Amino acid sequence: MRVEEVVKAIKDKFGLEVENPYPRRLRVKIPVDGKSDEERRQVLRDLLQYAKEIEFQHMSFITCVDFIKEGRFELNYGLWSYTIPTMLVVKYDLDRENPKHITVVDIWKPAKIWEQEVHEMFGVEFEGNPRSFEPYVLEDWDSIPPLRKDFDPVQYLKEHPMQGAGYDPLPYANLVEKNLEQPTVQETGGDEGANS
Amino acid sequence: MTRVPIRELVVTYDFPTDLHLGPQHPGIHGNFAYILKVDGEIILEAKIVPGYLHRAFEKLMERRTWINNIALIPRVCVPEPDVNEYAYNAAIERIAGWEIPPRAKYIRTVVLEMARISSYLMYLSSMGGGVGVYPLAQWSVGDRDYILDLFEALTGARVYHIFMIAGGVRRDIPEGWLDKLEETLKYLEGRLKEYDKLIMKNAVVQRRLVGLAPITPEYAMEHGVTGPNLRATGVPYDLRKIDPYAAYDELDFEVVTEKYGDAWSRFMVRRREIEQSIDLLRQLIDKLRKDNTPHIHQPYSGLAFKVPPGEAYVHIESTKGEFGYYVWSDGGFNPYRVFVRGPTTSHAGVLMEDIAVGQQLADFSLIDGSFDICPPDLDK
Repeated sequence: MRVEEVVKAIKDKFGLEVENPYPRRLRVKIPVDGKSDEERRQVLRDLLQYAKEIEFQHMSFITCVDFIKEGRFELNYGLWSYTIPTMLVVKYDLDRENPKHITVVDIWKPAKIWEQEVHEMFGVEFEGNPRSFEPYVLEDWDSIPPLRKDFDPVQYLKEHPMQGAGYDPLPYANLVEKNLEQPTVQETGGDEGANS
Repeated sequence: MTRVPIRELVVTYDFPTDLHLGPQHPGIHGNFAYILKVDGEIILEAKIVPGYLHRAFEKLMERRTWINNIALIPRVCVPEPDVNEYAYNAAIERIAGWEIPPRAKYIRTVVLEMARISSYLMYLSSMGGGVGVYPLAQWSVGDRDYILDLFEALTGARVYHIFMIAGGVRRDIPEGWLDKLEETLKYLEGRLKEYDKLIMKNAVVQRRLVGLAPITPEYAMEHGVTGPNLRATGVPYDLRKIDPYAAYDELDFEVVTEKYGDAWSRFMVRRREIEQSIDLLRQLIDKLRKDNTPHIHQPYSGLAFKVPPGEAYVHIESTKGEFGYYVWSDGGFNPYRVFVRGPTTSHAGVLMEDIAVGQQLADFSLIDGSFDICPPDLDK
């Protein structure tokens, strides 16, 4: 199959426009246009299933972007074909206030781990993938998901000072905020704690 | 003194039991852990425990300038840091629509191929330790130092080079450096024959590796397996060939494959790819000697550097598998979002959890090593 045939096949079957921004890269967006969430999810699942049938052998990634000003999360499903060869990125918009979604782990096995990552970093809930609700790389996380744009790491550091050998993160946090130069060791008192 | 009856000292276990393997374990490479459910010696279930190396790179990158990030990203993959530099900068160039000069492409490809050799020598070292042939572990790490010497002469740093920047590379090749590279390649070629004598014809190594955890091409692609692990199953899928980047479209090479998809095949693919890299480096030396173009697209200020709005995904062939950067720009001084696609995410999280089931506990760390599980790019 050739790239032009993929573009035409997706257009004929789903009525979706496929962009070809760079060589060996395709992008397709599942539009909102008044459809219900259930209908759009079905289109997404059908498209991912169809891609598997037309020589896309490898799920490269699932990731998310927080477009906070527009109030949406954009999920990106990256599928790669070794034989065409091209990458197809399927884009799906989610409501930022209510990020509930459906899993594709029954179609693509690697989704198990990528959905777990997206859930932890953005708080998107993937119904049907129990693994995605388990913690991934963060332990005992007690704030909003950290890759959301409204999560402020400096503020988090102030509220959760690190417990440890005389290390006080606050001078660093304040300096980062004020965008000043690095403090010397004496100013922060880091050495005193290490000796005591 | 009363003596405790020996029967009370014996600990009895209820099988199956949970066994925590790692993060402090000589058989697990890097800061990583598995929770295994075992019945005696047989593994019934495996689950990864990532997070020991999580340093929030993706969040940090959103808060730093485009050029600042170049000093940060090599840390995403410790044994082979240059793939990060290449993929990130190539994504910027793709969004900005820059075409970089041929010399910059050649120098980048030299760096990438040297990084491949150095990473594969680390792999040989970890496998040498795994099968109990410790001289290989020490030899290959020792020989890797010659590659690091070359990196130091070229970039000023041994491990994290921070050498590629958007538009090209930081500096041109120093005088006499290509001769040193040629000498080192000649030395390494001789050493590979010694390695073969030591390990490839070793009966113990063959008994341990042949037939261990075999996978088919269909199974591999279903579970997101890429890179040398996929080529060990017999399919010639190499991103340097089918999605060429840098100067790979100008180089002449055959994709290395093996037939059986077991640990021995995975080992052999990597061993043969060292030879391939030596050959590619020799071709690049010839090209660099004839080429007189500049090593950078155009000079610019790193502080005022901006990228026009857009997005691009660049993936390249690392020694672990497909390594990719998806970069979004909103036209500002910082990236809007950077996503790092590391090969270990699917290798550990999808493949290892599946393939370990039914295996002997004693083979587990060898299976983990043969797939080249490298946690830093999973934790990010």
